[in-house]
Amino acid sequence: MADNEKNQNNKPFGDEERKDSIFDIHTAALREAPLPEEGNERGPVWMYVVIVLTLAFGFFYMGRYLGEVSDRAHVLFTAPPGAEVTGEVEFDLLAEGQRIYTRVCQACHQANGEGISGVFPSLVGAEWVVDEPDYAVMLTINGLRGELVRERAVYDGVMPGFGNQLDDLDIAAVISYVRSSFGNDAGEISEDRVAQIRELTADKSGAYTAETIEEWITRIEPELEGSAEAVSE
Amino acid sequence: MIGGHQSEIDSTFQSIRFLDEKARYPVLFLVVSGVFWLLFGSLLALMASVKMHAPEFLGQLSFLTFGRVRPLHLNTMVYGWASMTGAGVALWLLSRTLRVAIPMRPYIIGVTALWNIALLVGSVQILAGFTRGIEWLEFPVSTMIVIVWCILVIGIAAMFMLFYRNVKTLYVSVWYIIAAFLWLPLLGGVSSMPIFDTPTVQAGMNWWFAHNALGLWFTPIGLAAAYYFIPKVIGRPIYSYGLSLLGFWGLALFYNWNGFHHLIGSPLPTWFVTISIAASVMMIIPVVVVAVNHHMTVVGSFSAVKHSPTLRFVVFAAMSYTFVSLQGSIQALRTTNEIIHFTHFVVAHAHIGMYAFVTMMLFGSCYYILPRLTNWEWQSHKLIKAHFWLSAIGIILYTVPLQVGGVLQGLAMNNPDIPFMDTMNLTIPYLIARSVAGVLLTVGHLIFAYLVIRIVAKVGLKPEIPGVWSKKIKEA
Repeated sequence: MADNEKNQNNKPFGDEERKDSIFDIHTAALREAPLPEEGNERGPVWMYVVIVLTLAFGFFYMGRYLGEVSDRAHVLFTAPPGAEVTGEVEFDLLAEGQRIYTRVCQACHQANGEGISGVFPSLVGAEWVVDEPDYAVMLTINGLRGELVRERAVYDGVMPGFGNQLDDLDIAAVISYVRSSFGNDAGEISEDRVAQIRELTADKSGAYTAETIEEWITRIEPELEGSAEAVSE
Repeated sequence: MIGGHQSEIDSTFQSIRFLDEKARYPVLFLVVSGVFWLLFGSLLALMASVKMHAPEFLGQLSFLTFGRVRPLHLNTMVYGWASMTGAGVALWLLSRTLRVAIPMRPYIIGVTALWNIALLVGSVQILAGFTRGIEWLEFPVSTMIVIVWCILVIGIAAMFMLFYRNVKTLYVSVWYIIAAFLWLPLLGGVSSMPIFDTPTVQAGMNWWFAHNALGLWFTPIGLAAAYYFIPKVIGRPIYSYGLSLLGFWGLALFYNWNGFHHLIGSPLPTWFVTISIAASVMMIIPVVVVAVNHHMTVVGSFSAVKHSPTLRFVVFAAMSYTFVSLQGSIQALRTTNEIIHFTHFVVAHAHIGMYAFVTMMLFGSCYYILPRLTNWEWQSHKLIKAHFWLSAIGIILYTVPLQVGGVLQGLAMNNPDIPFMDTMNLTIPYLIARSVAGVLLTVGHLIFAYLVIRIVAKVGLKPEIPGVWSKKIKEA
């Protein structure tokens, strides 16, 4: 095997290659300089200083942060720097509502809550938000579509329902936030209220229209405990 | 060391003319295949880049969505362009430095064809949505095994060359290439094993493989080319044999630990990550040593880069290697990583490594090797210059803005008061700059492909002058 390999590779040029080989060989070799042998310099002193410092750093780093060679992750790196938790963080319904509003509602109703006239209705001073928040809860759960007249503008868009994305606390938070922002000055809605409405309208599928939401509100109103306003304890 | 000048001219089996004659078909096939995948990968890169700032672009076609185009870009560039051309360049360098013709030529041509088919099948699979979902390893395991097997066969040819060498001592390029042919089948084989099932272990394997594919496959081939072409073109000896030795063993010793610095903050044990960071910093040693070795070789002859297209690309690549490696050592530290992790900074860093270093080195090598293999000359000096400047300016325009944007993005992401969308939006100008740079790079690649086709097909008259821009220098 070994000999075969060698013979095959080391075979001189075949006849057909030989014709112009002398010329070719010389041009090929003369167009390039031979590869020079390597020198044997020592290199500059600073390079050795860098090598020693790097080694020193490497050993220091391993010694300092090896984390007891345990199988646990984040040994020595458990607490985020400067974030010492003192006591429980209080849940802030309105701050949570603001986060949800930015994420879910703002794209249509805008950062100032005024919507876009003729396209997205305004939430500022809106009857269904400020005076009758049950409407807001219902249409947030199921959505709203069809013609709607507000402040002399006619809206004919679709608001999707968020009942699947947002739980009762989320809806309570975001509606409470809307009711107390953008110049609105109404109280908070409780999670229980949202839960009640969700349960009573469980049969409703798809979005309300301006008419059907009235029908539903008259149907469920008697069964709701207390008024929406009253829950802002 | 290499024998005297005499043996290069004589008509025996050791003359460079004979060696290049034997290297012609296997190396040309590898290089031309590589160039095809370079163009294909560039097209995918442009699509992916535009999608970053215009998400709806080509978004209706499921097979052209970002999640498929971007992995395929990476895989074709890595396993198509860089690996195939790199293997070709490595074989040619071995043939020259060991003074032995490339053996197993029909086998090499055969596995190159198979390799191309594997890449084609793998590309269709990724576009159709079949992927392993592991970065750098998106090809299905079947495709990866074929590719690794192809490289293994080429590696066996390399071992034969080492065994039947006609030189007494091994030149530094040989160490790197032989090591690369030993390392890659190990990396590819281990990463294809079905033993990395749990997420943490799989993530560890992922970055062990991905980082080592760069450091123990492309880097050795790139450095081997630099060690050969720099002294060859300027006609000065490599500064120090001892430093070459130190640089090689430094790489072999430290690199293989580096990958886990991608997993800072992950569920990997702390000591694991710490050792990886320490090893990443230790990479300063081989990098500085190699940089000193190359710099001291070039210093005084620097003007040669004006005249030699090969040297121009190779020196650019060698400088990029120093830069990207030192940057990598700094990036690995936990404090730096806190800012740049999960930002565009890392993407730019990877491109300095794979493009400004590996790809530029391969371009330079091709400009030297192809005239010798084809016995023809490059058709246009102007186009070579245009290619260099498009690539050089392109990659600088790609990386500098993206790294600035990445740092800003990282600082914004670390600030809890800034909404996430704002951290995304602030990167858009930098992403647009990246797309512009991508166009420059792609035009450069088209020029390169045009030149390669012309020289391989031997179109037109044979130009009289070799591809060198000054009579004073012997080499192209």
